[in-house]
Amino acid sequence: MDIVKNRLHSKTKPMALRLAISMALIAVLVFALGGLLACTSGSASDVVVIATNADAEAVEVMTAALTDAGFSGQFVFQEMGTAELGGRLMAEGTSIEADIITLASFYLHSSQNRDDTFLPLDSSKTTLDELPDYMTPILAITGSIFVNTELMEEDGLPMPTSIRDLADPVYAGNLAIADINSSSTAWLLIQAILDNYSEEEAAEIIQGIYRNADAHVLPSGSGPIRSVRAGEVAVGFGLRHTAVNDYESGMPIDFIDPAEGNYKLIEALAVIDRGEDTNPLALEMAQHILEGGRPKLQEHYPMQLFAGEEITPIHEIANQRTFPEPLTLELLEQHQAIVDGIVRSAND
Amino acid sequence: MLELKNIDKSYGSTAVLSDISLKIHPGELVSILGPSGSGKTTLLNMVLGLTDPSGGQLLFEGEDITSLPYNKRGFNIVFQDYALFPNLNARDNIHYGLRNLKDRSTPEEVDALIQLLGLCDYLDRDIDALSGGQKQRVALARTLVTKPKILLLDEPLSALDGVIKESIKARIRLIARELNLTTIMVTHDPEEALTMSDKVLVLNEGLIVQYSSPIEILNEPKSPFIEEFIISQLRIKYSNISSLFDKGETPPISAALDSIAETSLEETSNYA
Amino acid sequence: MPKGRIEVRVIYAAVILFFVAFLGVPLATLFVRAFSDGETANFTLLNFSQVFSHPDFLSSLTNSLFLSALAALITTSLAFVLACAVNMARLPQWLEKLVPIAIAIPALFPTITYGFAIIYTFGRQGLITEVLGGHQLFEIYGVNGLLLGYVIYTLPIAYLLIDNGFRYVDKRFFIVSRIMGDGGLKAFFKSIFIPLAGTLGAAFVQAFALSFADFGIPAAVAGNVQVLSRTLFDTMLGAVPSFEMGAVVAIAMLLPSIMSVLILTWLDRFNINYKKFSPISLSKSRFRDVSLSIYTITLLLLMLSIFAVVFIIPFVAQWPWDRSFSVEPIIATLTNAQYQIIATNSIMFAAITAAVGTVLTFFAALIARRGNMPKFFSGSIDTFAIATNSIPGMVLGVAFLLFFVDTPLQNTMAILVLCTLVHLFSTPFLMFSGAFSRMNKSWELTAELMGDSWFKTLRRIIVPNVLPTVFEVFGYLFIYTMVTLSGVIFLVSAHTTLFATRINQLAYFARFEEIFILSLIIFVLNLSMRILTRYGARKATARLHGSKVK
Repeated sequence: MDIVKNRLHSKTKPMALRLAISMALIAVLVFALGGLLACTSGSASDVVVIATNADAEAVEVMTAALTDAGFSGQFVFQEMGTAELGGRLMAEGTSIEADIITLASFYLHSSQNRDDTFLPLDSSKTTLDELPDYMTPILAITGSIFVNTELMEEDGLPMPTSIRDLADPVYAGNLAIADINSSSTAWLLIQAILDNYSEEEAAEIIQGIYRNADAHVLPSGSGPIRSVRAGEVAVGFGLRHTAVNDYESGMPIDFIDPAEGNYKLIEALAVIDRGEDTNPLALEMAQHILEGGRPKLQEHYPMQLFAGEEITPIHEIANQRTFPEPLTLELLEQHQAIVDGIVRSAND
Repeated sequence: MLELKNIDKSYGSTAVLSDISLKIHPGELVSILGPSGSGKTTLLNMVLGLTDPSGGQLLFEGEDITSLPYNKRGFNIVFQDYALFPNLNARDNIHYGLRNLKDRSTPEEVDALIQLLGLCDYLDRDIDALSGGQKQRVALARTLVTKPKILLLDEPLSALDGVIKESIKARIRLIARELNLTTIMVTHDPEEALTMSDKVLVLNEGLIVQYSSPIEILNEPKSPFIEEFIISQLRIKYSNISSLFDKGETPPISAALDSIAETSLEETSNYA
Repeated sequence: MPKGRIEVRVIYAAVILFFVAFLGVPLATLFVRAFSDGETANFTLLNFSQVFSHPDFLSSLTNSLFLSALAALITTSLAFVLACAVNMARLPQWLEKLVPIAIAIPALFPTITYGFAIIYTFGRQGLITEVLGGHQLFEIYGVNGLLLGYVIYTLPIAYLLIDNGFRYVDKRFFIVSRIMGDGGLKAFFKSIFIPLAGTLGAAFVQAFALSFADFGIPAAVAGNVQVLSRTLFDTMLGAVPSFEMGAVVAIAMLLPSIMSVLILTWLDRFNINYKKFSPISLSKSRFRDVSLSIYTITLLLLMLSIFAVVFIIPFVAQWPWDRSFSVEPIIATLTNAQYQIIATNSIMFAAITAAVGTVLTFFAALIARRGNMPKFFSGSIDTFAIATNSIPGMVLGVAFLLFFVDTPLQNTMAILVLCTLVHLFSTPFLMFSGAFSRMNKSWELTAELMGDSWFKTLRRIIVPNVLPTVFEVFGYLFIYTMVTLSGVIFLVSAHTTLFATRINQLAYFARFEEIFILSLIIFVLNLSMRILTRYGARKATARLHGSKVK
């Protein structure tokens, strides 16, 4: 027996050691995950997150402005839809992941009113529209009708001159618009209709337009021009400047300023107020986006925001209109409900 | 010496082994013989240490090993399906135990064992490339290099047939004698048990039917079960069974086997 | 806690802890949120009545159920005929070899790519539309696009299931049936169709569950057709985000999926196992062989042609106006700093998930199959594995979001890894389980009797013998992590943007060129990983059985 014991004792690992090894294995697993956590969150805290609903072109300009100012690697853009970013901002307030927000001004307005979300910014520039001090405009957008001239010819379609024309069944399946539930560009269309027509007329027009657009009610404001460009549909309503740019670059795209007038939205920038935890770089970056980026942004989105800015004639709008009521989130929700109601009653 | 004292084993209300008492002397080759369900595998596992008895005692060299875990008993087993490691070749399989138990066998002893089992030509082969008999011999060698105090064999011949089976039979017998190794083997084949063993333990329904030498079992069966289970089977196979097992003084079978072993080792190794 | 080896007990505890922490608790949180109001956390059924009384929700639910079922029916039929062609007809050699390769290709793309590929293939200026002279075959947005996407997505898995089922059908019965005087069709029905009924049912249910839970395809081509995954996304991240409503929608999504898995488990009993592999030479029929060959070629061509745009559009200056060859778009993407971050994120995410997942499923399967635990304990791991299979990625994502909000895990890579580990657990676990079950039962005991510790045996014997499966599992996890969207859509942050979630963002802005470039990058990465791991698995297998003497 003793022999057996001696022979085997040294060869078999004691219980404690085996336990230690298995614990070590588990520990490695846990540390692998923990380390992962640490390194992702550690490096993340210094990086400024810029949440934006802007198009690729605008993001590119802002990126270039920040890179030129020597911030490369210290910021990251988070691109989202207007409604998604707006929804998050309203839901999360100052605990939102982003440090800087660029968004339609009315969302920023509502958030500030409710949660006191933003820091005051000092800007030396004078804005044409009066805006509160916690936001600074970066660009303005306006809507227009645009067409794919090749498809218009191919399908023998008449050229529309007003938004009302878009409700004509002749455009059935050949029209793309943005969805007011997710895109603020869509609001430009709806504002024009609600401002120009009576309740019944407006309902009829909206019904007709939604019937024509059918599957091409797109989530993003830049969706319609892409559909028209790609030849998915012949006619669209969306951002005017994109159509103008396409027209100028020689694509078979043309744009029509609707008889109802061109309405306007301002996209602005604001910095989240996190008290002591506010990333000091955020305010600095906001400044650089504005100063370094605005000239280029104005080139892409040719509308005047600040005193002294100039634009080329083709981008000048003859019939620039403003909705009579101030633009607020509440008004948007009201308009969304109107559109939903009209579309649903049409479907029933 | 291994001694089993009043071993019981039951699962719930089902008794698998009842009141098993026996002694196995050093160097003996003992077969446990019985039909399926007789408890022979349970008994083998109990000696190995995989199964705890419900009652009774196991003694080895006078020490109580009833609750000693299997890896401390110093016994070893060759499983029915050999359990060879296919990621290692024959040589590495054979040497496997020596990685942990370096001084168990000297290189000379290992070489001798390989020679004895006729494995010299197959050492570099992968396990998949070995025949059934070759696998059995590699498994046997792998177990033997660790010099177990008792060698346990679970149905060592069931997967083999014909000439190969006879050859392996002979080798097991030869090795047990050569190394003076206490060997316990489980089988359901009466012929295997009777021709290979010094003693045969006949089990039925968890009870010892008879524990004695092959000759005694044939000549003095203690129960009608022996007649039914063992002798009738042999009678079918060998019409002249009485002449083979007649009351000679030396067990004629062993002598015959030894002579077979000498000749067939070389011949059969090509097939085995 | 099971008795026995301390190592097994510790690993068992770790595995169960993993499931409780990252499956049980988040799901419980999901249910609590669904049944409580946001402010006071009191019990209420208000969320349910509010969601279920909304007409859009009900149409979304019925759309999802109906479209998934219809797609599953089409998929199962197409896959069955394809499996018949491969197993019962004499196809040309090259074609027979091509089928398993071609069928594996769609899985290398995220499903959101399918949708955009469909638009650019069958849309008004799509590739196939143009080949057909500018005539659009069908309206792609809405029902048609969804069905087409679902079918492409689920055809491979349905085919693999049915093809595997064919292996266990004893085709000699077909001959017997013919000899007994049955007509060809009747014999086919009795001896092939009936024995395969269980497998066909399983293929249908599997296809249904996959389509039902998918987010990528509707994100691209749903048009104005609402389906449940879109509704869930909009509820969680839309204009008026509501976690309570989201939880309710998630539960509505969970129930059909759980039903599917229960049916699958039940159907498993109907699998008649003949255990006879009988490649049988059927009577010669040139008509049958030619027509089934044409069918196979058409189906594969159709399936693969949809992905052709992924390889064309990235190399075109500006589709469809300027079709000159250009590598500029790709170079612009590859050199874009933001995309370099996304690429690093994606590759790290896939590699870490694959590495940790391989270890995790290895040990879970090891102790379940070889731990000598009582059935209750090994069974508990199997049950968890089945449970992970029944939970749609989006539902798991919502549960994670609700549970880990305001914890240090929020917005980290770790949370993505953990959620994906749970989401993808089942298949690798089954792969390892199969491998471990096939191994000799006595290896550990044999090695221990020769002085090995448990870990020594693991290192020297178990791991080398399971190495081919380790490669397969790593490859599987890497590829499926790379293409997963539904599992991570609610959990990504600005710092952990991935290829797939970036595609979803790009989809919002309708930036198709970049979508196809990213899809192409994903495809190249996945294909490389597939080739690498296949090569590794083959090498490892060869090392086990290499010098076999014939």
